[in-house]
Amino acid sequence: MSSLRRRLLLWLLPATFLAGLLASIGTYWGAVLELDDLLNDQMRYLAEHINVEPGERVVLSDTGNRPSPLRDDNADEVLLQVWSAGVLSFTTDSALVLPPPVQTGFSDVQIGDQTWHTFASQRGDKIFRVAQAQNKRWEELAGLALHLLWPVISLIPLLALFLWFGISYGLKPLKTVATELSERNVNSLQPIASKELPGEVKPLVDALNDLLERLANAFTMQKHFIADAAHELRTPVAALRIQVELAQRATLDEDRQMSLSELQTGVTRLTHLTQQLLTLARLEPDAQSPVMQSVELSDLCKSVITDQVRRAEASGIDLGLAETTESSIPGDPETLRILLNNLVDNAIRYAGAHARIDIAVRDTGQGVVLEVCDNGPGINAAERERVLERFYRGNNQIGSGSGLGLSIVKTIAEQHGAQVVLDSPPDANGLRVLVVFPSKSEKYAV
Amino acid sequence: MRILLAEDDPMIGSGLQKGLRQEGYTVDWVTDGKAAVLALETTPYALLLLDLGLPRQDGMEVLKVMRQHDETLPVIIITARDSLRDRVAGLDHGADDYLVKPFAIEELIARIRAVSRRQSGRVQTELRGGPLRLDPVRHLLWLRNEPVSLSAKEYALLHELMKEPDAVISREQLEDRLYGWGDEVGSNAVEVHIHNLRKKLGADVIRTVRGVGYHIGEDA
Repeated sequence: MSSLRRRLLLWLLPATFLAGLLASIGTYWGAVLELDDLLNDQMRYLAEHINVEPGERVVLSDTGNRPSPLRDDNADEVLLQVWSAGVLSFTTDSALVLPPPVQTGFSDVQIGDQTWHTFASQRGDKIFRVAQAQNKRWEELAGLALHLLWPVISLIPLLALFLWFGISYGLKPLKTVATELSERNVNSLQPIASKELPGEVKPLVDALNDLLERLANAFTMQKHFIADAAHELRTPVAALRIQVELAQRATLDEDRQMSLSELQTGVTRLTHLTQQLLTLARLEPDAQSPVMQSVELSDLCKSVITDQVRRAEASGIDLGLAETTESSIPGDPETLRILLNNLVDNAIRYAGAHARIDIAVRDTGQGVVLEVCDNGPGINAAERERVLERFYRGNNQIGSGSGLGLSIVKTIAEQHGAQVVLDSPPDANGLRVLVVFPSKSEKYAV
Repeated sequence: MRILLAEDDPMIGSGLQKGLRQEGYTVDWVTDGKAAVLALETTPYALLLLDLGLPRQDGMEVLKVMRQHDETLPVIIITARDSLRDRVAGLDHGADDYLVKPFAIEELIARIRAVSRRQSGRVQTELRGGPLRLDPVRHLLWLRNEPVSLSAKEYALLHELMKEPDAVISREQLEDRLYGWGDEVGSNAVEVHIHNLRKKLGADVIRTVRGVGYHIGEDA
């Protein structure tokens, strides 16, 4: 497995070394040549101005008659003065008047708009002073420095070129991933191949792949849901269509009335199915976790019983609260109401006329149990798992269920970390549905 | 023509039964796969209308079992499963037609006619036999090009006889094809209808083969 760092350094380090090396060589040669020039000029000046006076004395001759020391051809001129006891006893340029030196060592002297850089040294009562025009000096030094800059500056485009290609090469894996992603169509949720990727990019791609996988799962679930829903909606719509056709064709008023009442039933059934589908669709995205608050289960039971008792009585069903303890659980009161409503609704639909439906809330110590128990035909053990699936209605079809009730119950229970258990009451026929909410400590331990 | 309807949805089942009866078909209705298999074993049907999502035994299973027993009965699948795969599977497992819910009864009836026409190897919709011409689409009958009006049962009886002009069909067979479960059948119901038909069409059009049954006589 490669890494981005290695890929980048592979180009950038050699490039930096090479550039540094070339710059150093350039600067070295530049400095050598420039200093060589400078020293040559001074040698030439000395050679040109050394004179032998009568008496075999070697002196620097007076250059004389130069109105300005700034003339280009004398740019490298060096002024030599000898002062004894404050009086100028010798100068190489008598036209130039400088004040007597105040101290030994380096100092700058201002004459007009020209600064002279001077060095004075004392031997006996004589002070020797060497001066050079500051401008001239600066020009020389600046020229030298400038020449030394050239090798470095001229290497910048080369270095830039190296950086450009090096970074492009180094970041190529990122570009590959980006191109791969941008070329995908909306439905392609295959994972990105992460085997050849650099170590720095791999965690990102892995996280992306994880997201893609979850998206693909969610998509598949949605697709199945839509397919199931379409299938389930077709049947009641087909029934409605047939009844409408029959009503249109009916020649007898009696027949027409019969079809219309069938239509009424069909519309009620379709409404119920649509309602249940919408409920499930709203519950389905598990990202939208419910807002948990404390819900008193026994209050919820009483309220649901009050809502449903009229329907139960219509079928001669005895609906009531059998046993209850004060127990509140963290949950979403809205969805918990839907859960209990569905359980009671199922019991009323399938338990049959004159059945008995008992609701109970128990605290078992391991958790709070919400129980809905009827003495109807029940569900045989083999089918109990399947009835929790969407649209599974069981073999003995009576009533007009949507096939979604228990699936909604299961979804809501899962959102609350609860478990749905189907069995039969211990000493009787019928169906008992238990929703087991984990105790608080257990819930937070998860 | 007696049809077996296997459909678990009560509203669709009752609606179809009613609609098809209005068209003169005899319809028996079962609501699960096991009952459908049982009915097929005991009663000679002319056609099976098969829903796929049946409880106890899936419609596709019913179809497979039927075809494995070399049962040639025409089958029209009526289902809410509309995917290409389901349709192909249905036809490949031996269905003669595949109709996706929701559909119009009219279309179903047209397909029933088409399938039974194909079953008897005809391409003409009109049936001819002796001096008779019968239009199964409009339920019309002509005797030597003169229209004759018939009751629904008379029409159904004549239709059965004309579907196989060369065969002799027994009274029991006619009863089986014309009356479904729960229909009150008088012991001489078929004779009464034959009698009435002879009054309308003339005595020679339907001939009796003693001890065997009835057939359509050739025009003299």
